[in-house]
Amino acid sequence: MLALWRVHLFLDLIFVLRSPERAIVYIVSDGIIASSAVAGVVLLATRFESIGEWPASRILFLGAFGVLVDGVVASFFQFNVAFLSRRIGRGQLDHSLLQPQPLRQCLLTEGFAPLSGSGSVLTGIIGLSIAASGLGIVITPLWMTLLCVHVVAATAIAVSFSTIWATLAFWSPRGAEEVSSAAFDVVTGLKGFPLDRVGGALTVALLTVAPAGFVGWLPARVLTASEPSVEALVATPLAAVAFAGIAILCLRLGLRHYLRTGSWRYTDFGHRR
Amino acid sequence: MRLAARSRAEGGIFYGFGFALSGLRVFILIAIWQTLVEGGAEVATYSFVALATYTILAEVFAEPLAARTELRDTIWNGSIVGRTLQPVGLVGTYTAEAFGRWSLRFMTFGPIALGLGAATGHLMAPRSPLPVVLLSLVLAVTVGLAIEFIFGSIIIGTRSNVWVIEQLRGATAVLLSGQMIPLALLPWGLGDVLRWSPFASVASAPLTLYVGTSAAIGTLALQTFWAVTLWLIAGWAWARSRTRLSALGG
Repeated sequence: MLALWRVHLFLDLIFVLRSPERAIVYIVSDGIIASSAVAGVVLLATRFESIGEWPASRILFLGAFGVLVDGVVASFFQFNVAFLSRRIGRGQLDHSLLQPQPLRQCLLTEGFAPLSGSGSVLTGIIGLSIAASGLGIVITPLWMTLLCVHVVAATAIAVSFSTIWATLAFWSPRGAEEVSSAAFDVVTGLKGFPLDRVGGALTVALLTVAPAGFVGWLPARVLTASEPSVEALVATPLAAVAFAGIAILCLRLGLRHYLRTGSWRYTDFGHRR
Repeated sequence: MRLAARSRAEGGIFYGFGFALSGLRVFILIAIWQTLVEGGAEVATYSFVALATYTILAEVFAEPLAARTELRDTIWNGSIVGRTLQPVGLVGTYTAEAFGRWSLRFMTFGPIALGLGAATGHLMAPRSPLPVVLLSLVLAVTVGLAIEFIFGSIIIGTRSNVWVIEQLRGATAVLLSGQMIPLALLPWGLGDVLRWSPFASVASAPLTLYVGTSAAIGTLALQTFWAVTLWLIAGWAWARSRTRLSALGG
């Protein structure tokens, strides 16, 4: 895994060095796009000093956390690994299946592009630092560990949710080709909103069928609380395990179907004909 | 228009996600408005019902207010070249197609959102005469389409990455236009500055007229100014950039 990540880091470096100006524009744009998505709520909280029990700094923390998760997805799951339905729908999964390595290793390494995906990561880290300072959070090794665990868990949930829907493309390659990005939008499009007052049923929905609450709200609540409960601390990591498990199960079912049908990429009706 | 609407309807599952996202955003924003208005009758000249109405209408009319056509996709996949060879105007083709695509959301998500809003008391009647609001909506789409073609010209003229430019535009426009958060609610007097921008004429103008937080004559005059000015710029920019149009396909 590490050797493959090194290879992909080198390829990403080539992308940056080939046209540094263009790469800088791309990285800066990435940061602006990611922060614009949460800027509205942050500005609203700034104007009114708080939204309910969320002061402006806490809202900034919530938004920055979501931006950082976006950045981690962009750094580790580029080239449509996070949007697997595109690869399946276009018959590009064969390109990974042909390689002399397990599919899971392929998917966990092929999308590694930490330099071109760094725009949102840097923006998220800067936002988190400002927010943490505003909230008076004492940065300890334990808190940093908790932050990393929650970022990894939130990323896993976003990618797993996208992958669960992506497996529809095994049965409907053309119809479901874009389903991953649509599913991903639902999860990350609501990342910057505090969900405390949306009501019980909607909160449950936003933590299960459309788990946007795990990509911002719940981790931000835990990380900014003075004494979070054990249940709150383990909720996002446990949800990540559950969503990843469902994604793996769906992927296996889809691949079993794919063994019988194969790719349509090079048929008369295929993507490349 | 019919063809565009039908082709979009074929992607039913994506529509489901789009509607879910819009619906969830409405619920969440209304919860936020409820929190902000708590204890006070109004916030920045908006009552709670005015804010809820603003949010519901912004989602129902999200596509016309964003004024996106197939221009970016056809630049990206090269099919714009084929369209330039057709014996019909480019603006007319893209606009008709866009209206077809927008109509589907308006006819499906629209009645549900408006019906639920009215039934739960979150949707108020227009505070400006309806013809004024509709005229403002037409002007908003006109300004939006001009911006669309100016950005198309920039993409072609500078040979920039279509998606980077489009995503940048999309991300900033939602904020600058007041489509999600009414401009009057922004801090540091930002709203007072942004309301003069062409982006505000695209989304904020018809929505504020509907809920009665802006004056009709001034708003319509500003929209007309931007519509004329931006279409002149769009015509000039398109004429200059079209010679740089090239496409690779396959």
